Amino acid sequence: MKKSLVALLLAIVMLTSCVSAFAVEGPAMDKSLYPLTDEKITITAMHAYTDVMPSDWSTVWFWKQLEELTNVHIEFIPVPSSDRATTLNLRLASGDLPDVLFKMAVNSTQCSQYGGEGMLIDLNQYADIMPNFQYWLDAYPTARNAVTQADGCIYGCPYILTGYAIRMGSRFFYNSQVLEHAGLTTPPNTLDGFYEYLKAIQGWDYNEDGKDDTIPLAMSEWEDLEYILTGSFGVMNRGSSNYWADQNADGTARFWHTAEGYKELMRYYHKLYDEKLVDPDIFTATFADEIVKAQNGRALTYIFVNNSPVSGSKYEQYTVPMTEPLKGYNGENAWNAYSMPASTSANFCITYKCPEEYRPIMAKWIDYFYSVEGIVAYFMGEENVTYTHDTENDTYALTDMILNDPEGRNFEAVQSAWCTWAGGMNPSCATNELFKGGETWPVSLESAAGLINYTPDKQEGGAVWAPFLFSSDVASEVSAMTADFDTYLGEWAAKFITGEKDVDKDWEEYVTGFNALGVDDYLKLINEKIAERGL
Amino acid sequence: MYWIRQRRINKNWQFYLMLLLPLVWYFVFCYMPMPGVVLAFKKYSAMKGVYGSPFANPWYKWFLKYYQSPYFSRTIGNTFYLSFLSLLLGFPLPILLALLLNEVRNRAFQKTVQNITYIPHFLSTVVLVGMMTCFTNRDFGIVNKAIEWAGGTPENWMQVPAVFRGLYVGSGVWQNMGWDSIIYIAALAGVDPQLHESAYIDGANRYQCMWYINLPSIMPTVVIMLILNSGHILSVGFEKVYLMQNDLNMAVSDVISTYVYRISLLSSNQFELSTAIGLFNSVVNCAMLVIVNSISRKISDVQLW
Amino acid sequence: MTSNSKNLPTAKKSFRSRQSKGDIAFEIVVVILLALLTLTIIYPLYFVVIASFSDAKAVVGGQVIVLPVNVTLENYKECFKNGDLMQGYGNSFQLLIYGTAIYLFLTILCAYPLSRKDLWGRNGIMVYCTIPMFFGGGLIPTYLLVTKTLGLSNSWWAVILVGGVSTYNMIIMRTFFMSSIPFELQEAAEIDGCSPLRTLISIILPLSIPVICVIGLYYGVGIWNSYFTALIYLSDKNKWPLQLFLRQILVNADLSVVDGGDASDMARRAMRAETIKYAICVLASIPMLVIYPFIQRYFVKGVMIGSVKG
Repeated sequence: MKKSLVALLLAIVMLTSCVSAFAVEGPAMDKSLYPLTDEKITITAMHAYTDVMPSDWSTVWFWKQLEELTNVHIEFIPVPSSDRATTLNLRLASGDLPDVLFKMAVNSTQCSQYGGEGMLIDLNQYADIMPNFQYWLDAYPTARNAVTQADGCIYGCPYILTGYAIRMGSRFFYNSQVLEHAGLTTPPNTLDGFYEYLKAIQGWDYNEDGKDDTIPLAMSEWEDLEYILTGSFGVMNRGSSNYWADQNADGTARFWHTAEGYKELMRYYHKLYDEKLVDPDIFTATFADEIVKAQNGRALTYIFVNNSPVSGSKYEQYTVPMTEPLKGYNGENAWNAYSMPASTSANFCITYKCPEEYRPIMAKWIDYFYSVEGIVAYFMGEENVTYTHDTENDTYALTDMILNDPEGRNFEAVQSAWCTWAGGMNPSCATNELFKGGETWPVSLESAAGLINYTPDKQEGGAVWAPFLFSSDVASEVSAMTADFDTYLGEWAAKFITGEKDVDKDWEEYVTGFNALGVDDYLKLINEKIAERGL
Repeated sequence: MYWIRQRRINKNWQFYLMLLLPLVWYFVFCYMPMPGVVLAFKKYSAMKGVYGSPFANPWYKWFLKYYQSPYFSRTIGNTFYLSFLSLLLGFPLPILLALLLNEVRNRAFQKTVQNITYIPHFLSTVVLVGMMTCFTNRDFGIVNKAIEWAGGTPENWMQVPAVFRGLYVGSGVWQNMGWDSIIYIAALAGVDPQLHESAYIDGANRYQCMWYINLPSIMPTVVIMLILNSGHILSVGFEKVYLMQNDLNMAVSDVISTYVYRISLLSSNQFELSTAIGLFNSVVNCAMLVIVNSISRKISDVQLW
Repeated sequence: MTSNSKNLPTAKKSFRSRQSKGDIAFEIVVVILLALLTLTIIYPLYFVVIASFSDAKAVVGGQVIVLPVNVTLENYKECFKNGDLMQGYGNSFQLLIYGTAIYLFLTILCAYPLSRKDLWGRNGIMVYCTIPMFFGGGLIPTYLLVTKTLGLSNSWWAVILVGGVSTYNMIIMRTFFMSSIPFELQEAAEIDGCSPLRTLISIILPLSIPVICVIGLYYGVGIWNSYFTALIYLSDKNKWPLQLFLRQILVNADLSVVDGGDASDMARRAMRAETIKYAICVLASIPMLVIYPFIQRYFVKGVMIGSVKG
């Protein structure tokens, strides 16, 4: 009797310690602040919206309740996400801005340039009234570094991805039946193994529609596969926050797109494409196409951040996630498609058009998004309608209404009447516990839990770099250079992959062309940053 | 005579009033932005505006940047190539169509053909490219279905660089051939029938009439149209190319206008560079126009001014 | 142009009573060539129409060649379901009417005075109007002018005014006035005491119906089919013209416009997407194609006079 009592007590103690380990981290909101203003004020906000959510946000539950809570009425100016960059550029250039920008992904060059000129307001001056925001910046110094410009100002609020699962990048999702057909019980974990696997399933009419239309590996952008293969070829060894540079063994910066490892990566990629193991339409396909192929059982393996492409189809139950990277030919075993908690995009900015007396109010307004209550409301919606909160274990879960829509709609579409987080670019935090997008679904979490053991910081002498920020003048040079790099890479990668250019014969031409775009200048700037930060 | 002069002044006054509104429009929307080209020589600051921004150092900085850019030869080359091909194919065909239509004696047939050829002109660029994308879709498109039926392999034709120019020029010809031929048909209607009569008496057959009488008669119109078109040699329209562009055909589809759009609005906001390129473009077009006009003036009597 | 026919001109070959063998062969070749051409032009258009009325699966499977398969109005129903497309349609119509009216108004006001040989400064004004044809400020300066200085951001005025008067069309109209309307007529009106404005309204305009129709059509087609100016100046989706929505659907493959963001059964949707696109192509082009026959009578006369003598 005593023994069992002790055992029970022990169990309770252990349970409570487990509970506190699961407890949701984050600052609670200060309810005494609300409403933020006695008289209702109107603020114009320009925001981007994606195609899974309504364009008129005034019908969305989250915004309605926010207006009631804060007494701030928002006049929305919606911008479709496909036109976001153009509209933003035009508005910034002409100075024709609304009071605030929301979910507009203002990049660091624009922040430093336009912020430096005074068009975007420095938020550091409101640090005292933004305790929640400061909490996260303190807890994740890389986030603070990512948005603090060279002049020491913070011009916008970033999307802080605390949950590592959300930063894992796209990975392979396999199908257990397909694996079985290839004679495997677990997914392949070497480059050759992967190649053999694809060859084994090629031509198999999995979806039994009588047509030879199955694709061994499908993706929506060619870069998806590039990211996955970086670890296997020893490139991008400092994570994906600074896409264009990584580090040599001697500490200097390296432009890995012209390195030997990348040549081998292209060679492997071309091999897959040439033998039709990869979807031939990767250069013009869209994400919608990928979903269709996955749902129809045409895509035997696909690449994405979660398994939502098959959700709702009969293939969902067979999903097997990727839990280890593919071992390279020289023993490389790394997962480099991993980023730091914050990117440099500012997803909320107060512009110079906002009347001065309203600016502190908007600073407090955005602070709500960084409090636990704010995060829960923004990402999950209405309690007991779209999510349930298990107070005992302090866990949250989406309700059936969202996850199992009777009409078979994707959960993001259903939830979009309550929340507008889909598509990223949110000035808030995505934690493992509170972010219920596909990246934290059991299958994706399983995958992330496996891959986290191979990230750059787990490699010997490796590290994950936080994004670099440059001063205003330099930033515009850098952004012009990287834009050129991007276009150049896009074209040449297409040529190498399709075989139009030969990886051996034309590599020199490719490298020379790249260098002509200013690679050396770029590396010089990165080296300066490395020295500055002592990396 | 006093009252006549008074009337004259009155009369002219009203005309000038009528002109006022349109001229003001020209001033505001055409001339006022023009000094904005000075942006090509400055370092733009959004807060200071175009005229308040400081000058670039050196003043030709952006022109030099374009000249040194790896995209310089490519964009100019592609623009010129596409323009030239469009002219090569798109210019003679409407003339030919007009000549042929003119030879048809059955009124109903002629009218029908004419009206049908006008229809594609009314489709917008978006619809046209949309149709092309649908037709060349690897899985669903009728072009590929036809190829399959003939035993070939289907291909996503919009992705194939070698085909891009063909698609661009071809669809342009398809769309505008009928409409462009109107002018020539109208000109042909003015051909003196007496010429035909005397030719017939001299024993010429219809083919010879067409070639040796009709064509030379409309030459003045043809030359004027040619001069006007050459003034656009370096301005491949942005909209259609942009809709047809993708990573794979970028090497042949990247023209000046899309490059300017990309660097100014899409990623990096290099407005100065894009204005410089635009200025360069306009200057070249003007030069071409002047050159072609002078050549024409020397060779024939036809000239624009 | 002596003959006053409102019909298309034909070859005046009435004196050829006998045809030689060569002539007949020639004519046959001409007819064949033209027939082939007509087929090339009409088949894609025809296909789009029949595909829009066909079942999605059949189109995707390549069964639709000459006739629609499983005729259905499903595709059109999908288009009408979502309010956005209809809104775009309405917006385009409004833009069309206001825009064409404004352009015609400005063009006539410009062309008429310039058609008077006795107007002092005429040549200088012509040059003033012609220069913008070849030389412009560029995208950014114009954008800054419109949004900053004039404050016309997100307004239809921006879209209409920036497109504006086309000097080319103005020249056509001016030439028409100069050549088709006898100067004596205008002088007579003056002597009778008509002011220039009255002359314009009561005499010139009624006689110019053909050219006004033609130029109106030119402007109208331009307005209906343009999208870029609307793209950069209109941020409010409710003000978008049809072409912008089309661009979303046809080129960006963004079908949320059609089914309102409903991600139901994406596979079925993607298949239907193809036929819906065809239906949209048809819907977008119908207005222009419907108006065209009414104006067609005036076509050749108006164009011919303007351009041949211009």
